Amino acid sequence: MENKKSGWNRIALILALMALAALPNAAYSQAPAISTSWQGYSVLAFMISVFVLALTYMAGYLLNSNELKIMAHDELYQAIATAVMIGLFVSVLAWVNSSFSPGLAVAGGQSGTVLDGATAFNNGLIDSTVSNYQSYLEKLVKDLGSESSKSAYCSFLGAGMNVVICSNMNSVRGTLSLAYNAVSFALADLYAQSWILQISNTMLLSVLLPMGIFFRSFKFSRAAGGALIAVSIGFYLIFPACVLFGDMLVRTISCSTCQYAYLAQPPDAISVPRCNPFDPSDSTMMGFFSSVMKDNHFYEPILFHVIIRCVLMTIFSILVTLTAIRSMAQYLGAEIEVSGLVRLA
Amino acid sequence: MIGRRQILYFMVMALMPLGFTFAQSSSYCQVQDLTSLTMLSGLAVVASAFFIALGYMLGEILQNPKLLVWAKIEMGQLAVSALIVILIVAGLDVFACNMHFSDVEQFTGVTSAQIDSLNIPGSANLVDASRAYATWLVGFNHDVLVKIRYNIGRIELRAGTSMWNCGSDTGGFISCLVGGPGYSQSKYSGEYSIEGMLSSLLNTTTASYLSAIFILFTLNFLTNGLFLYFLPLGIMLRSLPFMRGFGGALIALVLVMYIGYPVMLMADMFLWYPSYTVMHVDTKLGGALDETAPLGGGLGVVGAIMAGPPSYDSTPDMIFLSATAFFVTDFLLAINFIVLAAAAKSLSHMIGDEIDISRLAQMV
Repeated sequence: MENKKSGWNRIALILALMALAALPNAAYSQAPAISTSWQGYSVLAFMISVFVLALTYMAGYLLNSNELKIMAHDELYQAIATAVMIGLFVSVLAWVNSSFSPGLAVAGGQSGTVLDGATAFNNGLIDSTVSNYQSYLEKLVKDLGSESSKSAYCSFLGAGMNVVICSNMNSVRGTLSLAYNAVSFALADLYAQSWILQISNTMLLSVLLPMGIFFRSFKFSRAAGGALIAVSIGFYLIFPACVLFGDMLVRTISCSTCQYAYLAQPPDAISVPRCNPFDPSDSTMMGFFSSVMKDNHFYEPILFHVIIRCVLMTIFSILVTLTAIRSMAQYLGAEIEVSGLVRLA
Repeated sequence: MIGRRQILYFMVMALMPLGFTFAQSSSYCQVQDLTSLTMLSGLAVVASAFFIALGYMLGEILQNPKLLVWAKIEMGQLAVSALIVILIVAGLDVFACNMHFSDVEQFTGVTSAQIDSLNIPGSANLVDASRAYATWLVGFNHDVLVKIRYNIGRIELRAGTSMWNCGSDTGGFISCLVGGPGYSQSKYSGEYSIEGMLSSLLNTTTASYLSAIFILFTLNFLTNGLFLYFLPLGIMLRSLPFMRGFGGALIALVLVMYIGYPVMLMADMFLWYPSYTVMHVDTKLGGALDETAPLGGGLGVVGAIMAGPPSYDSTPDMIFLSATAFFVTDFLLAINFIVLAAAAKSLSHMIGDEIDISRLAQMV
């Protein structure tokens, strides 16, 4: 009875291996060039790990070692579990992309995958908004410095006097500099985010995911493999989805329910007036101060874009992604410590 | 009648010198002292076996069953340690030393044109290729640092420049000739604000530069045998009472740092470097800067006055370069350590005490 059962097990194992051998063909049929398809790499990594396990099983058979055979057997289940998880990931990816495509056309400015939408949104934010604010504020602080540094000098019979009448313009210099710094660092933030999206779009799944599948198939490297798979899925799917979700939140809340409809408008265009160092009349200056400091149509839209759209939403995306990575890694057999990365974020 | 366990034991013992010879023949990626390391590992096995044999003899003399059992268990554990060493040496040989850069290139589908500027020969092994990448990374961070510093210097020059206006604003050109009234102006003094922002970028990039140096030096220290001597030490400790866990942890650390670390660095390179040109990093970085060239050229101060204050590079470009340096050095390094910490933790748990190298990641 026991022998009969063992025989069936072997037949089942052989059939399973034969079925697995068909997987590369399936990958080829979906993507003609296996060298450019992450699905192909993943199947290849899976096949290599199954091959190594088969060798382990054969070694166990040769040495008549039950331990080796049981180990190969258990690890094969782990490899199959990995394949199932990757299959699940592919399905979720397809579902998310197909379900969110119509929304992405609005959020990202183009239809396509979640990643395409997030990339288009991020590039748009950089090019059309934050870069413009940055160059605008840069011009303002330069002009302000130029005008406020004027000092008049009069002399008569050796006696002279230096009058620094324009220096009162410096009263807004600190505030403008602070705004300029904030916008510049928001831009750095978005550039770093564009790097994450860029590598997710090009190499993340072709490099880290197959490595993860391969490593996860063996007991001694399961944690590393699980961590790699979790990082790949997190940054490929969760992160861009969070970027778009964050944008949607901001769009929904900022203009409809609050009284700050002008937040989403560009800041008022102001320019630094020309200062005459011999004319102490300050009526022109007062108009300038008023437009910079008193009128909230200048600073508040800038701060809204910097603090809410750039800094807060980036932190939100990173935090959610890292939390998801940590949870996924636990299911994939890895206990990872992400607090270091959270601090970096 | 020889049992299966004895056959397995003899096979391990027969394979052990083979494994050591294997490592010696490949000269472990130019590490000169690997020969002595493998000898030390072998010596550690022999010494441990001798120590255990002494224990066994003592057990026989004293007719102490506890000592006899201990010696038998430790002999089995010694065989396990020897097997681990063989696997580590073989792993180092296959993954770190004999896997060529061109093979990995082919596997990832990255065309050589994308990666050519790193100047890594296709025949380079994984350790050499990751070292070449780490060296390049230090150079890249340094270039970004120099660019920002150079522009801070330029802005400092510009912002400090003041001029005397005595023309149309103050009664015409004649007033300049008779020393009449005028006003002074520091036309570029507003750029002190830009300088402040660039100084913050300089701080961030300096941190990235230090991280890049940390990567390179760690790799250099590793390949020159920093932790390799933990291997024989681990084998010895695994055979001592109450020290098996610690010995196993040391062996796990060697495995993770010697195979995992270069592999993750290579993965970093293949992750981001193909986008180097696509993201216009090369264009934004520009050519090498000559920091020693005088501002006014051959004419000195006169030339400097005639040329006017030097202009500075685009600030969004510098922000982008600083963000790139941070991302490719600090962010990816942090991810590397997350993966390595997970691997070290589970591996050491499997063969010994749990170790936690996540502190290292936090330090980074």
